[in-house]
Amino acid sequence: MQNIRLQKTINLAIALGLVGTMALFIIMSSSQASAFSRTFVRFDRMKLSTATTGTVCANPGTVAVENDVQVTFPTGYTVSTTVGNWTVDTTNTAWPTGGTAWPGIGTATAAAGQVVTFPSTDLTVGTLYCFNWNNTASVSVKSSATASNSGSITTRTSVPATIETSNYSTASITDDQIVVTASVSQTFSFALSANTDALGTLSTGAITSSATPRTTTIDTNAKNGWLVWAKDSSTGLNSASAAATVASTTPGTNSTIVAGTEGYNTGVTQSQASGSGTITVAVPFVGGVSGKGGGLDTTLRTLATSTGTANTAVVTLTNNATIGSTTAAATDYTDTITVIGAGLF
Amino acid sequence: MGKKIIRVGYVASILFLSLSIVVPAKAQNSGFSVQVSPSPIIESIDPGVSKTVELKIRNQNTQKETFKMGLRAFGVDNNSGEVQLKNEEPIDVVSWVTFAEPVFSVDAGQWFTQKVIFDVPKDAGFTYSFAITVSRANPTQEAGGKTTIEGSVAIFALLSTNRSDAVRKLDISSFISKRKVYEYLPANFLLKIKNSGNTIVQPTGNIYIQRSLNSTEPIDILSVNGTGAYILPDVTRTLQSDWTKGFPTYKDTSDSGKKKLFWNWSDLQNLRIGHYVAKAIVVYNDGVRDIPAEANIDFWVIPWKLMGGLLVIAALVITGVVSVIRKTMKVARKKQKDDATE
Repeated sequence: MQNIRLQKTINLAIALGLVGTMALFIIMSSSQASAFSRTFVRFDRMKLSTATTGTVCANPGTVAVENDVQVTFPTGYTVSTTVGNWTVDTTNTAWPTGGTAWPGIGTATAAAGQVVTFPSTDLTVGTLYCFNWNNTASVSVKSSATASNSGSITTRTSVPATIETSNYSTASITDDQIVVTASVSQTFSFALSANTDALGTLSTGAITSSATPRTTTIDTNAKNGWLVWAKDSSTGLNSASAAATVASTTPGTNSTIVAGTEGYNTGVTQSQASGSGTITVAVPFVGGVSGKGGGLDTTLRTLATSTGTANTAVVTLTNNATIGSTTAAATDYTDTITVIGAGLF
Repeated sequence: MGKKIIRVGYVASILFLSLSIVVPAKAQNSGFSVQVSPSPIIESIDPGVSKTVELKIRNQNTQKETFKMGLRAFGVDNNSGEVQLKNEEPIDVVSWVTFAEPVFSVDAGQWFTQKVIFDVPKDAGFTYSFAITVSRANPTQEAGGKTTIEGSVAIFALLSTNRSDAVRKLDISSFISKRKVYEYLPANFLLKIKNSGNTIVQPTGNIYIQRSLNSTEPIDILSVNGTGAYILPDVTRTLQSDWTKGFPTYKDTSDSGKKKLFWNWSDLQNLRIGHYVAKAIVVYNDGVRDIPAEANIDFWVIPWKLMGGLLVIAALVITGVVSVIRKTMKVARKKQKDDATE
């Protein structure tokens, strides 16, 4: 008997629990506004502390009669509380696909704190409605850079009661776009230490390198760095009288020429007094060791690059040559190396 | 025997000389030294409108020089980002880019103002990029026995045409961290941006270092393209940003580019441990408004050596404390036992 009573009590408790849960669910559902199927808020400028115009779009998903739309701007954004500053238009300024002029939209009717209220008429479910606020006196971007600044869009009835609400997110950045409109006075200085490099008498017994390697010295305030290219006229040391060439050794790759085997290359080393740039010698031309470098040919090849400004950046060019036992003898072996420097963009 | 040695030596000397190329020694010339401004030249042009830009050229040499102006084409390798200067003239501009004085003389140490004239055709395209060169009008002639070296300065010219149908558009091709796990900062980020429009753009933006993707307050903010680099149409450029605000941090040293760990104790609050998110927001202006492009990556900073050291210290401290407690308890227990026995 006692067991039956206990069973009944348990059943009643479960039933009451279920009913209570359902009731709570219904109450919560009725008090929780639904969300738009799509929202879009675009600020035309994203730079810190910059006055901006923008666009608001929303696609309603709930059947109701809208009376106004409230746009809540992210915390930190300076929002004008003068309603006259919140003028709008419905010009399609690269709106999202399907964007339609927001019906009944007009100058704000209220602006308090971060919330601005615009008038609206009834919206049709499933249509993406947009409008632009077009006065830069209305809102300014916050003064600190953050990636996620949240705000919201809310539509309301005439009661007013919330129909739908959705959050949006935008970023504030330290600096925004720059359109190419003006020249920047950057200077670039390039000095070649001499116009000739006499290698002297070449022999089969040793590598002959520039006695006084020629240097190019670069000074520039170009923030994006600089480049030095080089090419030669004959892809090697050419003799007109002997109709022979000591050919450049494998242009485009790094090599170390050896005594007794014909070869000709240019090794590059670098130094810099100061500057923001880091100099990199192009891999094929890395020198610093006797006979090590890259061959030049008639294509302009990068010798060295830098990533920033330079104060007395020196690129040293050491020409190395070797001959073999069959290299034609002559006194007119020559080559013309063209070295070009430029500040980067 | 002695005569034989002399004969061999004589033959060897002749052989050696026959295999040698006699290159006479030459006194050093005074080289080539030029300063130019601006470099690069960045200009907006209008179709059918002539525009003149001044290029200042200074002869930094010790004697009067005669220079000549020239034009060269260049390209950018999309894989390496390398700017490749070409031997050829830029055929699309050679007919309408001219110089007031194609050949001119400048005294030592003096400036010369060259007028670069852009007679922009009515049917001008969206952008033009080429190099203007300044070199000696009469270069050193090749002569036997020496290598001639000629210097030249190139000035990049980037021209954007003001056309209503110009499209400014950027895409983030990739955003990567050089490493997934760093022991100490800096953390290095490479942002590859492609100019998919038809005009020259200069992107900007920030990389937000955060604990999670949707953090409202970033831990640190890095600049994207702080040097104001330009990206040509159809070119992808890699921009590097480094997160350096840490403790301790690796810094470059002047000797052989090696990195050294710096312990600046005033930066102790910047000790970085754990998981981080780098959120890149790059912005370009499409002529009317800012258009953002977004990408994010996550990475870890685990100062494992520092943590290991701290763990060892902690373990030693705990061991010491436990040992002291045990000893104290042992003494107390013994005393209790002794008291009970008494």
